[in-house]
Amino acid sequence: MNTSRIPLSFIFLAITLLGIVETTHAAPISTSFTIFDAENTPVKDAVIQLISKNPTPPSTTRKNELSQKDKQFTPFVLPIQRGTSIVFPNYDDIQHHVYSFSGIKKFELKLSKDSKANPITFEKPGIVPVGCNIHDWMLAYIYVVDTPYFSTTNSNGSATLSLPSDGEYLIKIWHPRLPDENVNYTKEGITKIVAKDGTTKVIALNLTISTGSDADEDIDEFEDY
Amino acid sequence: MISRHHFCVIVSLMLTYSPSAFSDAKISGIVQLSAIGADSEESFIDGGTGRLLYNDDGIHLSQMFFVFSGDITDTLSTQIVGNHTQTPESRTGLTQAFLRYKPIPTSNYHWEAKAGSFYPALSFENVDIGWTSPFAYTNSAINTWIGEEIRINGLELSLSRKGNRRNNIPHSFSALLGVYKGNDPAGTVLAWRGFALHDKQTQLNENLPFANYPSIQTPPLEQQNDYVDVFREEDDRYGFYVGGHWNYKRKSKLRYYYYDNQADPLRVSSGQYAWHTKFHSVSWLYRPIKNWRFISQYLTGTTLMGPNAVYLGYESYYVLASYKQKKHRLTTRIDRFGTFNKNDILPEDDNRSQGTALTLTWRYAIDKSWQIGAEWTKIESTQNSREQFGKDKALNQEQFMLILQLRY
Repeated sequence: MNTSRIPLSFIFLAITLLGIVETTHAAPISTSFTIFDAENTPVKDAVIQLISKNPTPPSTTRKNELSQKDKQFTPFVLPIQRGTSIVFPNYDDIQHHVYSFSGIKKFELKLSKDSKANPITFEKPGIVPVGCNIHDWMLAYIYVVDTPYFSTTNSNGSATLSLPSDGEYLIKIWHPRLPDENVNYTKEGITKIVAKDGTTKVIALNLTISTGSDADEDIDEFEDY
Repeated sequence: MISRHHFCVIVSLMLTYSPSAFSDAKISGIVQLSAIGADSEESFIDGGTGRLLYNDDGIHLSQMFFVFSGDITDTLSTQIVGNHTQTPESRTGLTQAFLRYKPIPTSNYHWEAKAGSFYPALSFENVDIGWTSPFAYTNSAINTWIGEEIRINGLELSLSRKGNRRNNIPHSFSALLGVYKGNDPAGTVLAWRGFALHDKQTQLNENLPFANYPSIQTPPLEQQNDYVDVFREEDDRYGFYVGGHWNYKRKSKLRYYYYDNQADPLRVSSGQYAWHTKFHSVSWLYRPIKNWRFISQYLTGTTLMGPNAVYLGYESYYVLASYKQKKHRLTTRIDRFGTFNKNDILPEDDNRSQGTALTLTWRYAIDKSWQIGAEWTKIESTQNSREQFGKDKALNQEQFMLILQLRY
């Protein structure tokens, strides 16, 4: 009977089509965001995280580094995926005493020049403000997120994220100057986005992230008594 | 007294032995030569009545000090500042030596303790190493006096609430309390000489000279020497100070201190009275934009010696503007200062004075180690005690300096 041939070719066709559809859906994509505040100023150091129903496991090859140079932490905001670790290299000629008293992760590291401190692993999601007990003004934020898809915005307020595929993702935006990490500060109350390759989504916040003048946050070259 | 040779030996010994005893031990310092076009008025340091440190032209070793800092534990550190001076004569000693305990914060409140010999953090002027100023080479009238006659030999506790960007709190606050012994003769030099302008810091066991005024050669003030042994203890009473700091980001910083040495003004020994000295000091630092900073300080107080024998009020302020462009720094400062009698019983011992000073400074950092600079200072003042020597009470002085500084 012919009946046996029809399903066979149909199956082949279906496999081929599925294959095409599958590659279309699973192709890694790159999508961008630009964040402005209520005064239409680009927001730097904002963390954008996208949450997928099918996240991939933590990347172990990603190097997370919170360095100390010229008595400043770099970067100011460091997002990392839960379960990954950070190294704290000291590129200054002087000593730093890096600490956190956050409930998410408490630690202290006395770091001499070029000292190799063991990496610290962050198991709980949340915000970890980091200070230096020698240089009180030094401040950085580690933001432990529960997704592999995240990035921080640059001085133009832009960030590009690589995703395993297009589709719908939950979106969360955080910045050190936003008062509550659990509140949605986007103007339109955006909670979801549909990610497409090569697109840029502009998001406006309903708060002003004042950056102030140069002297507000720069380092005073003179220390104290 | 220790010679310059001994100074070098001390520094090399510390360099040799420090790394084993301390982690992160560090020695830094400044050696500074000044070519001075001096005012001819004889300096107080040589027994004259001039407000400046030098009265002869020439090249002077104007600064030579080391700062030793080392960590004893992760949270306990020490700082020792050793200083060599050639005014009035070659001499080496310590200007500061203290321990600092700074535990790792466990909340947004931080506390800290300091013990030993140190300066209270009154101003924003003397913020370079060894309590020198990175702005003008010559200190303001206020901080010249602080360097001469104020030092804490005791304990300071401070509690701070740090601001943070997370909670949009740009304000930081600190409250400080200091308790100390010694510093009983503080105020002496203001009574007769008045305010001065220089960068000499009195070593912890050094006597600071001034003119041998006729009024201290005769009763009832004949027990007073023509120098002040400023850090001695006369009456076994504790002095104290309280302070408050308020920082708005790193843009605007305000400090208030109240100092009271609680000295018993009737005590006198070895030619040194206890002077009951108290003052208020308010300092403000403002950095509107990156290259500019404005610093101002106002100090007002009284000092009392003997049974109302000398009861002196004093007041001074300065306004300083400093501009930095790459390796150049330009600073200008205006000082106003005055002392006045407060109804003491010896009107013939006239302690009144007043004055204005203008200082212009240029500094050029050749590299991390070498710096050159130039400074001009002009003082217009009166000092009534000069009439005791048959001099005019008007005292106008001018000084020009070319400076070569080595930092190590």
